[in-house]
Amino acid sequence: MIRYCLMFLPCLLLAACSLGNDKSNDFGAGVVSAVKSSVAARQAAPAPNVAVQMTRAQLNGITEPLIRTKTEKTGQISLLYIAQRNGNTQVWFAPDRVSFTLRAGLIVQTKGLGDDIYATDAPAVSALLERRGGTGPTRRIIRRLDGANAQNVHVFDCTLTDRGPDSVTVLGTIFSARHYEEACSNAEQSFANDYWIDAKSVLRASRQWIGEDYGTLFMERLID
Amino acid sequence: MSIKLSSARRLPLYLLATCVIASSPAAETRPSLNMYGATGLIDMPSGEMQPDGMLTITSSHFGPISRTTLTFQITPRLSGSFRYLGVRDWNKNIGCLPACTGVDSFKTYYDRSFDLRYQVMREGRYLPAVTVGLQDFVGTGIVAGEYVVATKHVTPDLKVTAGLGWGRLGSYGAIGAPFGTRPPLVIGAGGNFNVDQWFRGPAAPFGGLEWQINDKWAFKAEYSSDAYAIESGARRTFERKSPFNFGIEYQANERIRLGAYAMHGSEIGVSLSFIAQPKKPMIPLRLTAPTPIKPRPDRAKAPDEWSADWVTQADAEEILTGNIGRQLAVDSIAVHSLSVNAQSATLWIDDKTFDSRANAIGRAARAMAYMLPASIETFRIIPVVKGQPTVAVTVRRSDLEALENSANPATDLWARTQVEDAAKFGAGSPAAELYPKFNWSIGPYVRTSYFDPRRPIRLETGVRAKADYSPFPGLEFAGSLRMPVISSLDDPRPASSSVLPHVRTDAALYDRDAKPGLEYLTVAKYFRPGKDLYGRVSAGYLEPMFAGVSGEVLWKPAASRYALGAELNYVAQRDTDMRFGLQNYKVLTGHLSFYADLNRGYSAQLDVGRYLAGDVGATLSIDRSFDNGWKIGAFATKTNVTAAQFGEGSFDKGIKVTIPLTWITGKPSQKVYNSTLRPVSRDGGARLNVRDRLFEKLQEDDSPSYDRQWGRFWR
Repeated sequence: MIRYCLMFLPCLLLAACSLGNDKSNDFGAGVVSAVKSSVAARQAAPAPNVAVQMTRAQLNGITEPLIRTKTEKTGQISLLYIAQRNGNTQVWFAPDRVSFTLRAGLIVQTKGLGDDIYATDAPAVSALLERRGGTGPTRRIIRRLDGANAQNVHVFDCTLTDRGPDSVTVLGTIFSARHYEEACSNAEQSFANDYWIDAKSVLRASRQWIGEDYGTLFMERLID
Repeated sequence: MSIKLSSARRLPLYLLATCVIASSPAAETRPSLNMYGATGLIDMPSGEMQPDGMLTITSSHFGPISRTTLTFQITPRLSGSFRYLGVRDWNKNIGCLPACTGVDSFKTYYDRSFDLRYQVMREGRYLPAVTVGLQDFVGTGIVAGEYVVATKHVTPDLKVTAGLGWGRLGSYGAIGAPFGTRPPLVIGAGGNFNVDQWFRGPAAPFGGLEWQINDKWAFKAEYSSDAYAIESGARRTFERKSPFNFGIEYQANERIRLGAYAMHGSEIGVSLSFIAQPKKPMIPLRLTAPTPIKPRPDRAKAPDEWSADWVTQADAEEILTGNIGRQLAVDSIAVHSLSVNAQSATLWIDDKTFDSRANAIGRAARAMAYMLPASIETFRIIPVVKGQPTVAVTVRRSDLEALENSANPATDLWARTQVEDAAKFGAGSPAAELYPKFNWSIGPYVRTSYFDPRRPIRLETGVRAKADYSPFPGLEFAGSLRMPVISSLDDPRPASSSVLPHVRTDAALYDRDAKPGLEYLTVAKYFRPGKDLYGRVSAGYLEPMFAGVSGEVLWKPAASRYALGAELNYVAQRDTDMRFGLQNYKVLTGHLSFYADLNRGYSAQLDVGRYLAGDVGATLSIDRSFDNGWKIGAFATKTNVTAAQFGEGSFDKGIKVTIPLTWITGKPSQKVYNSTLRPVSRDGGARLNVRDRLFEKLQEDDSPSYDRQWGRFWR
């Protein structure tokens, strides 16, 4: 999987530069080289996921933002880097060409999973994560494309709850954080998301529901 | 046919009463199928319908009787079936062997039948679902029957069905003939609608219940009003001891259901149903994530990047074409051409990947946003088909930047998207490396032929080599050669007795002689004669049985739900060895075609003109299409050939099913599987099978289609 990432990124970077007026480089070259050396070091072993055994030391010198994810259903672990920023959203790519669009850490779109979130309308959650809003009842709208390419709109009634102070350990570092829960349901489905916001107002970790098939994704912010 | 009125145990009519007075929650069980492949009990129908759009194939067997039925839920209340059935031991016990003649000469009797069912009332809190049905309502009518049937849940897991049947379904335990006697069936050449017979003659009650034990298992019991007068009575192919049938069914998964039954106190029955819901792919579509929209930098902060000075760079267009081409190569979309100025860019794309054009347009827009200088605000994307521009889709770059992550990105963007005819923009100057184009492939193939009474399924498999060559946009040479390896298509079959020119009924000779066979070898030119107009001229060996010239003009405005086409062909019949020789038969054939998108996935096509045998008439096709490429339709052709001249079936008719490969694999592809089922193929109402008719190639490129597909733009 990592290899796809390496194939994909340089091609974009090279292509982008050839006209000569593309100076911005949002594709996290630092992360790529770090991952690359890490992969090289483990090439002999039968492809252990680089993210699994990652230590804080391996990230020394990397300044690009980095998220580690774990798909709860399959246990698959992956690293996400920012491929593009657009206003208050960032598109984070996993090496297997899956992307997650985050707004203040909230997943608003996914692409490449199959069971994707096409679009999200959850302003109260964004406001909470951006420290602009509080808890209480709210509504979340998730759009999906069904098997016949039609847009299905799923409206959920949700409650945002402050679960109080908590601590999260990310790569051996303990962060004190505040734990919020978003519990949502409608006639067909229900799910609960968890958010841990640390003292610097960074969403340090979260558990976010993607869909019935994919399940829930655990994310932790490794590098801010 | 002798109808035996026996000392029947009458159906307890209180069941009907139960249905009406019972107050229970609405349906919670799944509507299941009977052995006729229709929604129902075991041999009897029920008042329920399958979910809209459901397509099922049911194969059932008991005693000497086998039935295979294709059923489609055409609308939420209307369903239709096509069935092929066989009765074994047809002449074994009637004392005619070994010198049986006429209809008695068959060891196994095969027959095709069509059904239609309409649900007049949906199940409510107190009222049952009520359906009126016609079974085998056209043609020889060997299983013909009509019914009115009601089904009501009495508990969430238990439903009760009661109905009244006529014809075959009124042959046991009749309670009278409320609508008069049933006139004898006039079969003639078959293919007639037996209207005079419907709901006439003795009527008999039937009924039963279905208990859904759990998610997987169900139990069924019924009282059948079918006496099996021919199969059991006259021909003694099995013994019908009892009107009661019992069965259990097992839902293995969403797609497969199995059943086992005790039939009529004497036989064991089994059934197997394959269930396909066109709206639910076997594997959900999974695409790789697209390149995110790259917003331009703030103009005030980076004025240099917004400068349009780059237009003075001589090789700018060439470099940008290469950059976008490399970016789109990831998705196998070819950049046909690019034209840029300081404010706008036009990109012609040749998309051979995506099952949905909106998806290719979206990927192209993303590549443009990624690669083009900031001063360019207007993106115009033109899908190219057969080297010709189709429609131009214009989006503003600032809208892409602003709406990518909106709460409703597809609807928001579509409101700001323009679609217009692209003839005026031309096809650009194609990138140097694109032409000449050459493609070839070698692979296995399978051909089938159904419903021959001597051999219901014939198969041929072999190797097919295809190639096409395009020296410049719009001109295409193409050929295909097949070499059968294993075949049952070439078994000797009786020579055609058709009184019309043998334009199709000599198929057996082609199957016998063409080893190898040249399927087609053509040169075709595609062009745009003007706004909203498309043209094609083809010449050569157009199809396996005919060679000649074919010309076509199609009027299809970019925003229209309607299109009009005119096609004229002059062709000669090819030799049966499918090499280069021609027979003496020549014909001028052609049609005016009217295409209408009737909304909500229904579409109609009317072709009026002269057919291959020189007969004049019209073909009406009605299709139900799904936005993922599934299409299920029926067609019928009536020409000035009489039923007697036409032969078996009276007129040409059939069913067409199109299944996109994407639905099966979950990967984007433009490959589709087409299947046309005709009860019988004759010479009347036969059309030339010229390849790449314009409407086929262009039907997805208009704004109503893009509107339905626009969700795919961002995927």
